[in-house]
Amino acid sequence: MSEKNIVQFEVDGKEVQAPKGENLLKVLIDQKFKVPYYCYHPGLSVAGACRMCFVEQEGVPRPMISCNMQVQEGMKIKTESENLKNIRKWNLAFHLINHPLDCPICDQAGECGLQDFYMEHGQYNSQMQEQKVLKRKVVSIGDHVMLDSERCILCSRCVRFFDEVPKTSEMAIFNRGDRSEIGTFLDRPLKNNYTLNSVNICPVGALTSKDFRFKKRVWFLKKLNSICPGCSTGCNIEVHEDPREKQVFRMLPRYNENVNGHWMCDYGAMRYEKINPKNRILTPKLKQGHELVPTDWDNAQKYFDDAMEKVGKDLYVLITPQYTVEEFEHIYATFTQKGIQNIFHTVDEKNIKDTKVIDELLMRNDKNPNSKGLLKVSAAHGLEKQNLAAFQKELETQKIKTLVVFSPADPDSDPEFMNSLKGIEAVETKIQLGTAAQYETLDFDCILPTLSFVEKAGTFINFNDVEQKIEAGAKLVEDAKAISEILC
Amino acid sequence: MKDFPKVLFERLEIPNIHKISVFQEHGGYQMAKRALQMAPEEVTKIVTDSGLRGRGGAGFPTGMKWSFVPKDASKIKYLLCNGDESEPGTFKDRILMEKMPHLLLEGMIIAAHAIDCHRAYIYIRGEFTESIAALEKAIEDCHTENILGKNIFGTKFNLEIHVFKGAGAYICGEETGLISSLEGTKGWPKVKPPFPAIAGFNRLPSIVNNVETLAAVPWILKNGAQAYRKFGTEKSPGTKLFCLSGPVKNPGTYELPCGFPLKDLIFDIGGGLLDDLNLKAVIPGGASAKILTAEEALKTTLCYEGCQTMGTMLGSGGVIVIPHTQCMVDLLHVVSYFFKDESCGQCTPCREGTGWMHKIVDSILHQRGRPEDVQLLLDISENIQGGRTICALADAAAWPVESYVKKFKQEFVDHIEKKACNLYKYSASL
Ligand SMILES: Cc1cc2nc3c(=O)[nH]c(=O)nc-3n(C[C@H](O)[C@H](O)[C@H](O)COP(=O)(O)O)c2cc1C
Ligand code: SF4
Ligand code: SF4
Ligand code: SF4
Ligand code: FES
Repeated sequence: MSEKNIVQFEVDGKEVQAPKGENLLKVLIDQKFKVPYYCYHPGLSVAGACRMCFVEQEGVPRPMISCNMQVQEGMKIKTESENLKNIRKWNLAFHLINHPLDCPICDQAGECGLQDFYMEHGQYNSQMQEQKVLKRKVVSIGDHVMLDSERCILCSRCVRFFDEVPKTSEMAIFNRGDRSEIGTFLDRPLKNNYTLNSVNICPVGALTSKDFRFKKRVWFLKKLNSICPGCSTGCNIEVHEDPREKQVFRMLPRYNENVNGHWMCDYGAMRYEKINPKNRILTPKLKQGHELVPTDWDNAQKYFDDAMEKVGKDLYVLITPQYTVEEFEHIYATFTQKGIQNIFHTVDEKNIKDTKVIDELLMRNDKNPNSKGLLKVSAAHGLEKQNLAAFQKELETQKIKTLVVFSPADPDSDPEFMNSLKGIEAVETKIQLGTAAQYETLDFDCILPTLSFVEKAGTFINFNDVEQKIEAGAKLVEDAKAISEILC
Repeated sequence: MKDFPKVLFERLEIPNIHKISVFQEHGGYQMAKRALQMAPEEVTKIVTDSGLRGRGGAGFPTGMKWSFVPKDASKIKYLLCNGDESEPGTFKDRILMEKMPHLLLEGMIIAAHAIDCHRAYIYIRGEFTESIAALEKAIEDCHTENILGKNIFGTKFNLEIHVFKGAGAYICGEETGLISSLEGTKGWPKVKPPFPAIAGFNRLPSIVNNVETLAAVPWILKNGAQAYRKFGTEKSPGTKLFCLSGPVKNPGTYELPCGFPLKDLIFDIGGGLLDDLNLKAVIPGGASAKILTAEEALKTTLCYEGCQTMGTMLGSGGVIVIPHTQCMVDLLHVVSYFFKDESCGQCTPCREGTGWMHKIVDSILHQRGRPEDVQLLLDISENIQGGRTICALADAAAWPVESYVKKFKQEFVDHIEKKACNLYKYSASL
């Protein structure tokens, strides 16, 4: 933004700067002025429906809704006055007269726009003695979404979302006046890969996630900034976990103008399930006869070190693009220092060249978060040509005696991993470092649990060469270890 | 009554005036022809100078509205004629559309030329089957006569006019609700700005004008701005159609000069109330206008400023006479039902406020009222009006509540305290 496009104006006597023509409410929100709003969303068109966001402008007789105003040089805005207080009080009352105050059993409690402003703007006692308009509760409208239309405040965010973002126009407000009711046409289930976004942007508890409902009060959740590991798009996300319970409860999109805007896909949002202990490799394991038996780290590490020692330079290593750049660097550096050159990666170069989205909006063919990172590190060691095809050839010559595999962190990205490798049975010793319980199979002689993407810090490089950081949260699996601890 | 020329109804009584041949025999389309020889700005200037104000309710100066349309020749512009006529107590546009379809079309050709529009729509509420049929036939005949279509009257001007049938929602008479409906979506009004003249139908510059407004344009062009200003008042020049309803001897639609005394409309032209009935109140401008007590009504003149002085509005010109036998709680019950039923539900104060007000009036009417309800009605009505909502339906819903409760408070109090009504049994409206 060049200098001359920035304008100066005044809000509540303070000097504020913003790009000319920017949405005034957006600027007020960004700069932490307290203006209540329900229908505005920075990623959607302006509806002007909730009428909560009124402000006053000097020289204009009537208050105006700030979500439909543009920033202009020299304008003088007031966000507080007796009149505005009265307008907000009444508009809140209008929102509440037909709203069932079932906060104690509502999933949105704690992050509900109604509840927040209700507390802030003088706990207005509903004066309505008449019968509330009754509507439908607990309606399933898709694989991920549950609707309670009595709680809906008809802000139309969800309607505009499906109209404007995945462009499926699956939701609408039916009927009119106080009988207006949100829903899908003929109650058809939502069918697109972005339905959970409607849950995220619903300012009240009308749309809830089937997956998240009733699981957790939101105030117990700790938030990490991270990157979705579901595909090469690298959507920016927030991971919500409860460290005491050692569980991740949900993943929400985090705004990044250049990568994912305000959104993420449902497939991505459900990735968290794969890293919870239920689906994880929980302890080191060794093969005894026809069984994989849990063991302690001392034993396992000894097995691993001995195997390394024994095979020396003839060790083969296979790496999937689901680890961080820092981990790749550590792996390549450690093995090459030992003179090991048989380090292969599974990046499918044809696949990653195809960067078209494969669904309504964001998802890409390559289901790995860090193919570009792995290519970059392997190239730095001159080993980028050692790809899956090359590895397959080596396998067929039957000269691989010992193999270390860094398996996919997310089994959904490649459910047939290992099975698709022809001749793998002939390898004498197979060691897996990984996280996914799905790969705890007799294919391996030794399995070592590593950290998932929410338990470590690092970098992913997306399809478009954007380097993005993930943050480390609490350890979910007690026995999981960093790769740098295992390989040294 | 001072003598005045009839701008709209001049040719109304001519047999078969709805036919193109008859209309043309009586000077029809001469003004359209003349307008096409003039520069668009010249046409707009005459309309501006005449002081013609929009007859759809708000009274916005028509020439000024036309001048808001961007002059950018590369942009498509639309003329949208509002024939939704759904304000209760209003039945004037319908007469024009059914009986004088060509007068409206002539006005539209002139207006289209003034704003450089080549595709215009007439939005008619679906129940008006006769209006729809009359206009469709009139448009067809115009095509045959080269009055619509390409190179009208041999000039370079092209114009297509289409009839669009609404589904009978009050809100589709609000200009941006009309535009949404015309675009094929639910008739939800749009947030303003942008105003339709800048971004209207399909987000392109659009002028929405009422049927009566457009039908007045040929006369103005023929006789000049000054002739139009010779009658009516300074601020409300010309004539207007008034729809007189209620228990009067001669109900009907009358063309009168603006500034005409309301008393004379009711008692001279209307012949007064039916036997044994006394005047209790008058709603001067359609159901949304604030009610006048009998005493106020007798002092009111029918022009924009005259009604404003009395705290109400000229609105659509729907004059509804209320007799002494009418219970005001009962009347408000009907009126508040209409508005809560017709609210599009898009914005919260209107959606919730109109429903809430009606429920309270319903409680009062049915002996469940509480003493605090009177004040609550006033508070709610105050807090949904005055720019609190996307469109003016909320104001239209608030004004009757506010004015009936304030001016006939005792009736509401009696219903609540005595749980009975002397008048209820006479009321026709339930
Ligand atoms: C709720 C509501 C209903 C309206 N209904 C009508 C209508 O039925 N017919 C009409 O001409 N104008 C109606 N209007 C006024 C229109 O919005 C608009 O102002 C008018 O059509 C403009 O034309 P004019 O300038 O010629 O008056 C309505 C306005 C509101 C707020
Ligand atoms: S369901 Fe939620 S997002 Fe959709 S209109 Fe209702 S309150 Fe708004
Ligand atoms: S598009 Fe890819 S990165 Fe984005 S949320 Fe979906 S799976 Fe995750
Ligand atoms: S004021 Fe009423 S009718 Fe107008 S947009 Fe809002 S809800 Fe709809
Ligand atoms: S946020 Fe502005 S009206 Fe809803």
